Amino acid sequence: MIHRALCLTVVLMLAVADAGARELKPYTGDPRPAPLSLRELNGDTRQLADFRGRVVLVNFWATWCPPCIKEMPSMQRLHERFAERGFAVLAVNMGETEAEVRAFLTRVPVSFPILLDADGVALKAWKVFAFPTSYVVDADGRIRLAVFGEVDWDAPEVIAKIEALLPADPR
Amino acid sequence: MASGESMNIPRDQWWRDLRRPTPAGARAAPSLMAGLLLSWLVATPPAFADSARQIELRVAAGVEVPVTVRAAAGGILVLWLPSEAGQAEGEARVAAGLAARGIEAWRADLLSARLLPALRSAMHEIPAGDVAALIEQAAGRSGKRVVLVSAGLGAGPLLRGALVWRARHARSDALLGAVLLHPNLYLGTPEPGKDAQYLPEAARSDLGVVILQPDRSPLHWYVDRLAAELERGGGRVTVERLAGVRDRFHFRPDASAAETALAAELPARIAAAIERLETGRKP
Repeated sequence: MIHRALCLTVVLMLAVADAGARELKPYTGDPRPAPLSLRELNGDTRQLADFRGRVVLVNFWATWCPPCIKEMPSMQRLHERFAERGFAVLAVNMGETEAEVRAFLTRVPVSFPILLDADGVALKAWKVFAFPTSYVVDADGRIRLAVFGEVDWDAPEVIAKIEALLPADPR
Repeated sequence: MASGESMNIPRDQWWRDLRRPTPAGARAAPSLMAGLLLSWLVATPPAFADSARQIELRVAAGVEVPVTVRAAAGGILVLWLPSEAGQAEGEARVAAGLAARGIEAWRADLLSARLLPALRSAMHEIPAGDVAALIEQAAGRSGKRVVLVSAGLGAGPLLRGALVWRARHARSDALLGAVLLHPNLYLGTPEPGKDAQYLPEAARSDLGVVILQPDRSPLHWYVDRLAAELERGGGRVTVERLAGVRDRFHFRPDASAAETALAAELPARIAAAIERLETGRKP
């Protein structure tokens, strides 16, 4: 009985360790981002280069990905918090139709641009192997932070990391 | 024709025979017929093998692997190995569906045999020798050709075991190949911006493989790259993309209608994949 309980405890501990919270970490790859030029939901083409001078969170996601959905509202709040301080979010949807994305946005509305990567071109160029994956590009166009997996974008430590890349608050 | 269908025909036939008007000479013996029928029903096991039985196979000293067997009459035996999700209930339904198509299905609980948890990390702890021993016993006991099946990270121990088995049985054709559901053969999930690296056994494998890859998956975008890696060892690899479903669709608690529908179709999809392994046809 005791042996069984011990086994169960070890298994549960391993399960917790395996689930592991994802942390927004300093990016260790080539800091020069791959090209990102995709059609937005409204039909306009957006390029990462258009955002030079701003800190940009590039998020790769899909409507069928539960962690992607879960982090979306906190990403919207981060967008609202720093929008006037030179911060932007570009959410790159992976391979879904415009109708699927629009239907999702009626349930989880966001005000940042949604880009459509229908053929996975950006996904491969940015070496995205898990959803969601997020990169934070600084005002000089260099990738500074990255993470795969769900992030609580309301978390103070996450906000502090983003804020450290932004110009000082004039207020 | 699937054996389950062919075996239903005699049952329908005797029912029709019972309802047919009885010749006058035979009217004297209705109770005898009913008695014989009752005896047959009690004494004869169901022709369609829809019930599972448990066996234990010793794969190493002191290591017994519980195996759930769905017997069937055909010449193929599916040896289903666990993934990081362990043994899912959805897989039991697929095994039953395979047996109904004449494909014997053995689900081996390699994790509990080694007291391993159903976790990603456990997939690296399954000894290749355990899998090789299972293949040996499955082929030896049944006399059938074995097809390995697993999902996700279960593809790693599957390939490692197949390599060990192949080294021991270089001239045998008892191992037909593998059907891999959304195989994940990455050394680890690559950090953002880093290139993916595959487990070394991916390039060493010479197994014939059919990959069933849902398109609502990050793995979907790289499946051709994985297929090329698996072909480096000389095996023929084909990829079937599954539209509108996610990885683990056959046992997801939050399955969509499309996923539930495809899960019901999975035995037929696996049967078709096995046929491709037998004929060497591309889809």
